[in-house]
Amino acid sequence: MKLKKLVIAMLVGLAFTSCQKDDPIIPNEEEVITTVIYTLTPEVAAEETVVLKYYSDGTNTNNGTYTQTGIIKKNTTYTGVLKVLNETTDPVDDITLEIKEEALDHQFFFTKPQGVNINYTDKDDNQHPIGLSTKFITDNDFNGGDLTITLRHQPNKSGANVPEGDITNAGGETDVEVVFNLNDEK
Amino acid sequence: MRNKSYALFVILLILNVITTNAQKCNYSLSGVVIDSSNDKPIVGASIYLEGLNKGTISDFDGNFKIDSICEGNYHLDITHIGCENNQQFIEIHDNTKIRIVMNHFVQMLDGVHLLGHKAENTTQAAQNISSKNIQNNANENLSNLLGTLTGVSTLKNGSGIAKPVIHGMYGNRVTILNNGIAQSGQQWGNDHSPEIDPLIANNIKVIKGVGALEYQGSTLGAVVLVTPKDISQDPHLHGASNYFFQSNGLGNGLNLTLEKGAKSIAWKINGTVKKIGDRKTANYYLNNTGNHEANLALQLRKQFSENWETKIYASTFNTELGVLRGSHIGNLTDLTEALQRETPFFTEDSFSYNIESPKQEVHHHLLKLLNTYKISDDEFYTFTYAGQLNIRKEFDIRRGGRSDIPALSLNQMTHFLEAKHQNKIGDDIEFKKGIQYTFTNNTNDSETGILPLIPDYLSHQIGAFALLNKRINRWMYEVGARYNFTYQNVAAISKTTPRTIINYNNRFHNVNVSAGVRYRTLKQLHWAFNIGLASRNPAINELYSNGLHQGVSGIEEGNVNLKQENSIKTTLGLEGNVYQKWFFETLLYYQYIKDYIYLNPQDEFRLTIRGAFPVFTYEQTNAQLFGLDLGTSYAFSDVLKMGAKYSFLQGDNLSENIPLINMAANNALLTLDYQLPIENTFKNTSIGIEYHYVWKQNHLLTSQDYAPAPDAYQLLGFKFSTEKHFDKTKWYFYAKGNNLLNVAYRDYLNRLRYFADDTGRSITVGFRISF
Repeated sequence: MKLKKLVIAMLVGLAFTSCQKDDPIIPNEEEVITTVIYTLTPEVAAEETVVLKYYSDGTNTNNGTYTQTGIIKKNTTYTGVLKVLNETTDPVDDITLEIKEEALDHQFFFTKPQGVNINYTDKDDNQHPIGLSTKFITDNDFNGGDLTITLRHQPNKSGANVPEGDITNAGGETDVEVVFNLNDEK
Repeated sequence: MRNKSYALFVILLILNVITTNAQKCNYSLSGVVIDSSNDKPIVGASIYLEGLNKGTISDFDGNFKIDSICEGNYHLDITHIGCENNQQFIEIHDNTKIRIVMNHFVQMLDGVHLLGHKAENTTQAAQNISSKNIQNNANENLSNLLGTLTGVSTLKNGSGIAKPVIHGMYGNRVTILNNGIAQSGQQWGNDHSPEIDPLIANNIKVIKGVGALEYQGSTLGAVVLVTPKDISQDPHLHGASNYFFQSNGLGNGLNLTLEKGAKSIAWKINGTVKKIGDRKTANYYLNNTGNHEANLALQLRKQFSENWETKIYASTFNTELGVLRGSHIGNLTDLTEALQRETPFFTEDSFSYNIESPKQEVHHHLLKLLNTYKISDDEFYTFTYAGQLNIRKEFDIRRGGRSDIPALSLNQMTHFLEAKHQNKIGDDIEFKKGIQYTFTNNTNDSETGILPLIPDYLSHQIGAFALLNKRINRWMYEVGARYNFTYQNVAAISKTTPRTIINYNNRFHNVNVSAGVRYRTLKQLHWAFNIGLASRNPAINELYSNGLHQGVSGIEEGNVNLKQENSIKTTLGLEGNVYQKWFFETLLYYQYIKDYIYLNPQDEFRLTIRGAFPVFTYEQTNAQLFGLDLGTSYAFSDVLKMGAKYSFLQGDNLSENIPLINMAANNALLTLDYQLPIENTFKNTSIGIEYHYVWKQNHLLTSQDYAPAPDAYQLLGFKFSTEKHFDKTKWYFYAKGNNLLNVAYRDYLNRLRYFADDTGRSITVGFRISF
């Protein structure tokens, strides 16, 4: 009787046993962001459109790459449009739409180099800026430099100076933080 | 649910009263009451026969006698100031003589028995948390309870999430046994609490040395034993109900136990519900730090014959744990910002029981079957099967309404089989041996939409052990050995794109040996020395973990080239007392670990789209840990005792000549306990104060952490407890206060220290009725 129980217990144990783990299902990583594109279209149509692009493969295993097409000029006003993509999926997933949908929970912040001024030109339902559309204005002091673009998820959008674009009191989690070295010609 | 349990409890209470039988009524019960520590008689102990309303007091020689007792079954209740209550079930068919041995409550400070209880005959260092202590801290989780022991600290992520650190070892290096079964879950996570309800336990013990080899697991450090009390032999229904209220977090908890011993089948059922809301620091609320818990355990025992007994144990543990909202951050910039803040982001001025993301949801189910086959009083076999299912889901703040989808979702199934044999060779040699097999199957649920941090795997582990101990006069020797073979089969998803499946097969052989000797210089002075060699194979997370660990703002990378760790540990202990008044004990330990596996921060930051992240890779080094645990107490009289404890620990990375991180800061505890001499109305009434001092962790380089170690802090606490015994029921009341001065402080081993202060003042009151 006792042996019988033991044998049964053993068999139950062995029934679950195997030596090869089944292949896992590879999760569909729909939340990944691979690409940030900041397109600067000059108000004077004759001028050159500038495209700042950051791309990574979304794996966190290596550093991303920065590219810039066109040169940003002094004393020029551009219309800035931000686009955020997940290029690991097919078709490419436009995260910008998700951000627009959850505008109340998102805001872009810009840390600007000397001679650059960036103004928000879009608003969420609470009349707080989002940052997908901006005015990008350079003056005579502009001479290149680092532009940091940060996307915060669930920031305190009504915090002190946050609607004006100051990140200090924003809080929340950083979803995107990329640093473009403007007009860097290496 | 709660109301139903209460109704049942009351009905059972009433039924229980209707049990008496009256026949011949001229028997007597006599005996002697003895002090366990010195075999001397106890004067003035109260002996009380429940149901008869009869009692007496032991005389100057410890003798007592109660006359005119009817034939029947009785419950005997023996109490004495400063002693643990002693309850016995006796059958009276004749004039009966008994010997009652009483243990002093606070022989030492609670939980300080570095060398094991006197009765245990062991060379190993063992520390206990008594059932009284567990019940008077019903609001605490297992790790926080363990943290009251000298040499044990807790690695925390807020006050609800905690795991024990023993002599500097934690996670994969500490095995926790729930009712003799190695707890199987995601032990690797520093923010993963052991899924065990301490209220089901009667005794919680930490053992190191030879005895630890009996248990399968990676026992490089110590073993924690959580043991539920056996169902009593008493054939009557007994039960207890324990309720607590905790002011910080407005926590409520209720525990119910019912048990009935019987020759046919004995049973016990134990359930706990807890609900604690947002905790508060000295100055602000810690939003989203509540926890909810609901647990149930069922024990059955059946005696099939003289020598064959079966025990079944089934338990379920379910919890939801909130994580401070302000501690959920994106990248290093966020962390730097959080570090500069006085109060964390998202701090609100209101209290709530609600738990939102980030949070953890954990379920743990255990089924254990134990068969004992007794050949003689000195020889028996045990056969065990245990199955465990651990389900862990962790929720983050996510974009696109995904916060309701777990970011980590793991299921772990474990099957365990064991056969053990224990016998005596001659009069003085005890020999214990056994074989064990564990099968683990760990699977990620792909619902997360996130690449898993640790891969899917299965593992087989076969182990065998043998322990021997022998006593010769004042000497006691103990030796033990264990061999484990581990096979791991891993199906990992590649780190790089396009994603593919990579399979790994690993085989490891681990050998552990340990030896100890104990010597009694005088009756009241014991020396114990222990030495052990152990090896531990790298765990799955150390080999293959891969991913962004938002909790620590870092990218964690496993290392497939890791080898086994090898360790040698020695302990030297001394325990004794002077005239039963002054007790002292010391434990010195030194551990050297070759190829110690640890997370090493890499020099360069990884620049991801979310910003810069430090990269941590599992690497190996040679390490040493050494420390000292001290405990002493002085009894001014039977009613007034003073105690002190001190722990020192240092860990070093020898290859790089830098300190090891996550080592507990040195700390000291002073206590003063006073037993109120009102034994005639209330029993065991004591009041005590506690003073806790924690030094700053100075053995750390600034480059090893994001923020400097917190400053030293001191906390003041009190505790009060009393009992009232009625004919059939006993009422217990306790109250305690933590951080009475409402000090704002941060603790080095609490990860939340980056973001917020530790918890402020909290008063807990508890009430327990048993029958």
